[in-house]
Amino acid sequence: MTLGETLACDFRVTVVGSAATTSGHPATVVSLVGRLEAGSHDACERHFVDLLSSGTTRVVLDCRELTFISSMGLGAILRLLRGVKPLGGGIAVSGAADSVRQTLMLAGLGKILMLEADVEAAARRL
Amino acid sequence: MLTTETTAGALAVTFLAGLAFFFLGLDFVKTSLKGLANRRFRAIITKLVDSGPLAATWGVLFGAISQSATAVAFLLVGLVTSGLLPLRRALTVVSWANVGTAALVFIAAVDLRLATLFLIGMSGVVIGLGRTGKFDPMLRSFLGVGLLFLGLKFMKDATGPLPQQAWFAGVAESLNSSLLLGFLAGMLLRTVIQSSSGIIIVLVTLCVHGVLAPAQTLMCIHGTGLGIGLSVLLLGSGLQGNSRQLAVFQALINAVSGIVLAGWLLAAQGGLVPGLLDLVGTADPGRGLATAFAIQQVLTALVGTSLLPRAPALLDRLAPPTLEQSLQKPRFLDESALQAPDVALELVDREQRRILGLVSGLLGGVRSDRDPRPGEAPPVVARAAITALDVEVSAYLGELARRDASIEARRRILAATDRERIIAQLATALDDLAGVAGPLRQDPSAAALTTSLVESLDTILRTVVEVI
Repeated sequence: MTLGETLACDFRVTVVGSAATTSGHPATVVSLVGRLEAGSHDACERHFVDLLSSGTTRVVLDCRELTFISSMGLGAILRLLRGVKPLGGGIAVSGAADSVRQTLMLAGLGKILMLEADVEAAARRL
Repeated sequence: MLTTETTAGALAVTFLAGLAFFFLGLDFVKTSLKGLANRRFRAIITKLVDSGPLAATWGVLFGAISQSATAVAFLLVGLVTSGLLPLRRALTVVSWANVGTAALVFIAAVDLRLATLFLIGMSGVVIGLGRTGKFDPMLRSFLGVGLLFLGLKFMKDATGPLPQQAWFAGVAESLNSSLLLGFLAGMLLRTVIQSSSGIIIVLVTLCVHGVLAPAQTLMCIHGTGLGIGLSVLLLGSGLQGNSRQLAVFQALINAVSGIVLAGWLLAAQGGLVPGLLDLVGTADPGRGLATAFAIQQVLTALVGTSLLPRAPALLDRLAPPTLEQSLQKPRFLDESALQAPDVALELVDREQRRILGLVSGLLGGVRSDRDPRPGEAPPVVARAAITALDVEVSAYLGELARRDASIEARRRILAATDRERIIAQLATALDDLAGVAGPLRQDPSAAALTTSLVESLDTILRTVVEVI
């Protein structure tokens, strides 16, 4: 396991680097791989809490390899959003598969989470 | 009529039928009391046993009328299960019902046969005619109580002829050889015969006629304490949660008092302490034994009363409440808060938030998570809890609306009533959605969209619950 990586059954969350934003503050890029659901949202949330503790306010969630997201997973992302918003930050989602994108859109989170095709485009929205 | 000549097979069949009536009656009472679970009825019950002494008094009375604290315990099971009676009060009633049974050893036993048949006949005929209306739950409770007592009567009838059986006289003779055997015999008798007073009367008669020695008879009486415990545990073996808690409590306090007094008797036999019969100080063995039995029952009640502060926590460990029972009971609504509308409305707010938290569980059967969600009730349990809590909250708000309140409080009551209606409609809609989404998830062309719909809707629900 590499630094900044959290594992759960069928799920992995990893800090993979940073990306330039238009605001000048770099965004932390977090890769979500596998199924973010009831059995894995706890691990993901712990990772997000660590991010917040380290002062991260701008996050790009790289969802290219995220195969499924349940309401529990969405809850974890929304709580991260509630943590960064008051600090002037935000979250952008990149590369989400159709099924994940569909869930986000139907939940009304399409605009709040700024869906983009790739990491660079997503970072520019922050 | 069962006589000395009745075969063992006939006795066994009669006992089995009695057991069946007992369970049937118990089920009737439990089910129908749930239908009676309105606020007004609960207020009456709560008022009847409002304080410890009142609950104790009613316990003695119920015990005296039913001649069996076990029957009282099983009747209260229905009240506790349906949320009509707080567990702690029920424990007080059960503790002191034991004392009530002792009273009947002194006075002529009340024959409940006619009352039982009247109860069954009256309620059964009215139910059969289908003209019960709003009295249906009450009549079904009466029928249940009647069947329960009929079951006890059958069991008593089936075991009553035992002392007249030739082999039983032999058993009585061998009992005199060992105090321990006496204790075991008392325990066994009470396990199968559902009336302590009935057994004690037989035992006292045997003693008065010189069949049993006073010490052996007394040991038999003490053994019934443990027998009551075993009997309650056997009859309540299929019970769960609050029902089992009541059964375990009744078993525990009777066993403790029986064992303590058996120990005392052994110590008295060894000359370490004065004997109970010596302390009673009567030359009449019948009266002495009856008084000793009364002392045992009072000790049972005292053990129960002394355990009350710790009993709910202890029973929660020994027999945890079922998820269904925990969820269906209001957590915040409080009768006394009805006097202060602001406080009552705050409690309604909290209860409604709790119900909203359960609403998400209705989608549990159609979500795609591989693992169960921690702490989430299965959809069927969540639905039952939401329905039960909706009834409670609506009735509470109705009661609040009938009281004097400021214009602002009335506005809030109306808002809360509207909110409750919306929550109930939301639950119904989600239930319907879950019904439709289940089959759709099996259809490959609709599965992905259905999953996204369910997860997104669940996200919205959870967000609403978190922010309100």
